[in-house]
Amino acid sequence: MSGADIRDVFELPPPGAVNKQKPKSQGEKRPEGISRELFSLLGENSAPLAIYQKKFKEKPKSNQKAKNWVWHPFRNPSRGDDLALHHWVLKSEAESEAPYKFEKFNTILFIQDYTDDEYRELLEDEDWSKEETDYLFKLCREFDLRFFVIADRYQWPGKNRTLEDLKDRFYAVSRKTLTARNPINGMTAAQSSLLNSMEYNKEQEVIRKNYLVGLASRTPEEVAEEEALFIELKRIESLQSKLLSDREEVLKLLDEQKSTEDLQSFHTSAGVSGLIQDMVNARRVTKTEDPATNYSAPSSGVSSSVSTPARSFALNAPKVRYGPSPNDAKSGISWHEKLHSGCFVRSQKIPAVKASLVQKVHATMNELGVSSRLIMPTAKVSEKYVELQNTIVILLELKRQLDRFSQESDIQGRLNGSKKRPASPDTIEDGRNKKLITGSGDTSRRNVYNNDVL
Amino acid sequence: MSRNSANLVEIPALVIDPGTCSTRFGFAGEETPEVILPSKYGVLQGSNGDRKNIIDELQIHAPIPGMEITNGTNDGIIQDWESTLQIWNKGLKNKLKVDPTEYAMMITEPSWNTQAVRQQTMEAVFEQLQAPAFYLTKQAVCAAFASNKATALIVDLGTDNATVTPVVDGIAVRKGIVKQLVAGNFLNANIKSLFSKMNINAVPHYQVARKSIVIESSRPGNAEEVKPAVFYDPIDGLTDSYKEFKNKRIVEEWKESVLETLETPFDEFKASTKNPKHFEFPDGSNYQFGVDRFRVGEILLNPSFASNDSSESTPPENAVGLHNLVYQSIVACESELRSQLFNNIVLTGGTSLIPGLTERLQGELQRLAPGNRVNVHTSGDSTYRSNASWLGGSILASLDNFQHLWVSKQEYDEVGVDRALFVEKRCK
Repeated sequence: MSGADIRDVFELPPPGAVNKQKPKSQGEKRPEGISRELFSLLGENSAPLAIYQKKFKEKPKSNQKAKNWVWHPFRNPSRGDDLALHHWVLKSEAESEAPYKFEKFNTILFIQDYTDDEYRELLEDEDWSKEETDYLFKLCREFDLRFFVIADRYQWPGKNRTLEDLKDRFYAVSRKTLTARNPINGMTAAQSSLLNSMEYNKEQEVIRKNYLVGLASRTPEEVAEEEALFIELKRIESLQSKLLSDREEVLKLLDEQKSTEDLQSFHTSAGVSGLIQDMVNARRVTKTEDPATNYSAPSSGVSSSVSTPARSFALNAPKVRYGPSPNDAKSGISWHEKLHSGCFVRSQKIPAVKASLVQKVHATMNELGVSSRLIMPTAKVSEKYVELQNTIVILLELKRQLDRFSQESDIQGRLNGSKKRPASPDTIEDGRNKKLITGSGDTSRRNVYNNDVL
Repeated sequence: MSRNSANLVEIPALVIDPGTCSTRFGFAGEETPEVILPSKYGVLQGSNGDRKNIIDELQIHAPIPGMEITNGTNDGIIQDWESTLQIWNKGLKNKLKVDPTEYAMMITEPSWNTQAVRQQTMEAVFEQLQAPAFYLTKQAVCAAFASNKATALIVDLGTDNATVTPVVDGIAVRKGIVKQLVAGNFLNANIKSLFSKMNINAVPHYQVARKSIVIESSRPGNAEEVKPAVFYDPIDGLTDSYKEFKNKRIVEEWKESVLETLETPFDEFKASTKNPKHFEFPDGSNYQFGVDRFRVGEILLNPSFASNDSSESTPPENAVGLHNLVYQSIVACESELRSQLFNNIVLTGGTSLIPGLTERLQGELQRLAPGNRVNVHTSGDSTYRSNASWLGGSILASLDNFQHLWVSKQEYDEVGVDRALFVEKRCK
């Protein structure tokens, strides 16, 4: 640092400028009689007022009295020796002679002990000498059954033990000793749970660890490949389950009568027609037994779903009704449409079909020669109209399912390679113009419908 | 505020953490050591032939003719007990101002410490320091506790050694301990060769009387006036070890301020896109360091980057990159432990403070072990990193569960001669 810098720091005047003037002014002269000190306080030059600034924080106020702490020696009972260390303790606590509060943390793990006799009887093993077994148990006790560390520190001359070897021997010895001392039937709950915890299957563990090593050493390509495969698997599975659920649905629609064992017979057109006849007969039988189902079929004008007419026929069990019959004029019960309050326009109460199917339904009706809008919507006419609508909806559904299944079976057939299924898909393919089971309405009406179409 | 007695340390204990570079002293239960003394000390040959040790962190820097600078600890293990005890006494009695006879002593040791040294440590504490109780912990275990884990893989980058120690449930697994001599000192040697390659004459501090000053001219366009540095007259009789010590100081300053590692494997182009850092040497000369500082930083992860122009800067045989070292350690352990160890890697030690090292290590390890989740933890504060093992010792000594594990003087007296095995057994 140069001299100029130092002068700068200390704010000294530059050399050469000597202060020649002595301050001559003395101020006022003090009068006689007053002491010098007094005058300096009173006179012109009064002492400057000292401003007392509180630079420190206020002293913290505590309501409690200061506690008394003593430097107290103490002993630790979990120690073998008499080491007397000291620590600061409240005087009240020191006098109460409380036990050392960290005593309870000295927990000792339970490790089975065996006597020499027991060893000779039960635990002899060609591979393991008694000394080595003792050494193993000593290590277990020392390291609290932390097998990783035990395996690390295990040094028995001449033997190279793996972790699995050590564990196997330890658990085998413990199990045998435990069962020898307490026969299985006479064990307490604690002991039997202890026994259960000592199960150790060495081969399994070795295999498992090898798997783990293999798993950990996969290259990133392998990992990516596995991921892709997994996703594929999930996709196929979901496809399968969807397929199954769809099949269920169709079967419900079709009201399967026969078992699916002998499908070959249904692969011919004769077989299919036979199936239809069977179903018709079955329906006739159920119908005569159960006139009531007739009335559940036509929609009551409020709502109809495709499945309600179908489901009424899916219930094969004859319905038994109690009470007076609906046509009984005596009882005054009548079954009719739902009564609405006020006046209403019947054509507006026609239940609507699903939006996605509306177009198709109308197209079908047009093909059949029926106009899609009712011209004269009387009660009977609208009833019939609604029935027709339902039937068409079911028809379309089935057609859709059929298309899908035939496609799937095509794919399957191609996958299977050689096997070609006989002509069945074609016979059922042209849905509307062939004999197709629609499953709606009653037989008489269906026949009428079929006749109209054909 | 009512003082809950559970907050107090049960037994007053001191923690001493000796290392190759520095020795740390402090009270158990505190966060940082109170006193840090360098492990180096000066040796002055007196006129009547006796040697005097100068143990003081300031005095050893004074250029005294004939003063040798040596180190009592080498390779992390205490070699010279006389000087070490002097250092400890100085630290405890003069600096910390405690009486060792009143306090239990917790001493840390490196994971590869020899049995002989362990025994000597115990003897020194009981006989020389006259402490009432004593315990010896491994530095790796302490580092694990300092980062709040009982099972971890400790990667310690110190002065002499880079070591990897797996700690399982608070106990070090011996089979997994690997170490190599690519650490602080090795980096220093390489930095020195970098300086000589760049023709930088690093004049040490004690020779510089005044730095060279650059006076900016008041009018732009004129050249700046450079006042050259002024040096002291050279002092005769300075020992080589002293000179090396002072040169090392410059190198270490450079290391601490300029050295950096790229977060991806070394790429010339990428390194050149990073901002260069400038460093001012004691004589005032400034240099910019760009790609070279990354090249030096790469040495830890790829020893082939070392400049092989001197024996010290040549990497030892079998030296591998740090990530390979870590991997070696992990595969030496049981397969069940591996994923847990990968997930809990703790980077500690002074040399680990190089910026960019943590991320780089994590990236490289993840590439080595793609099937596992790799997580490298570091404590953020730089003081915590270099004092991690001291901190762990402090935590351990103040734990409730630990108090019955101290080795007392009485037990020591009872054991007698067979102390080596006794230490092995008690201080796991």
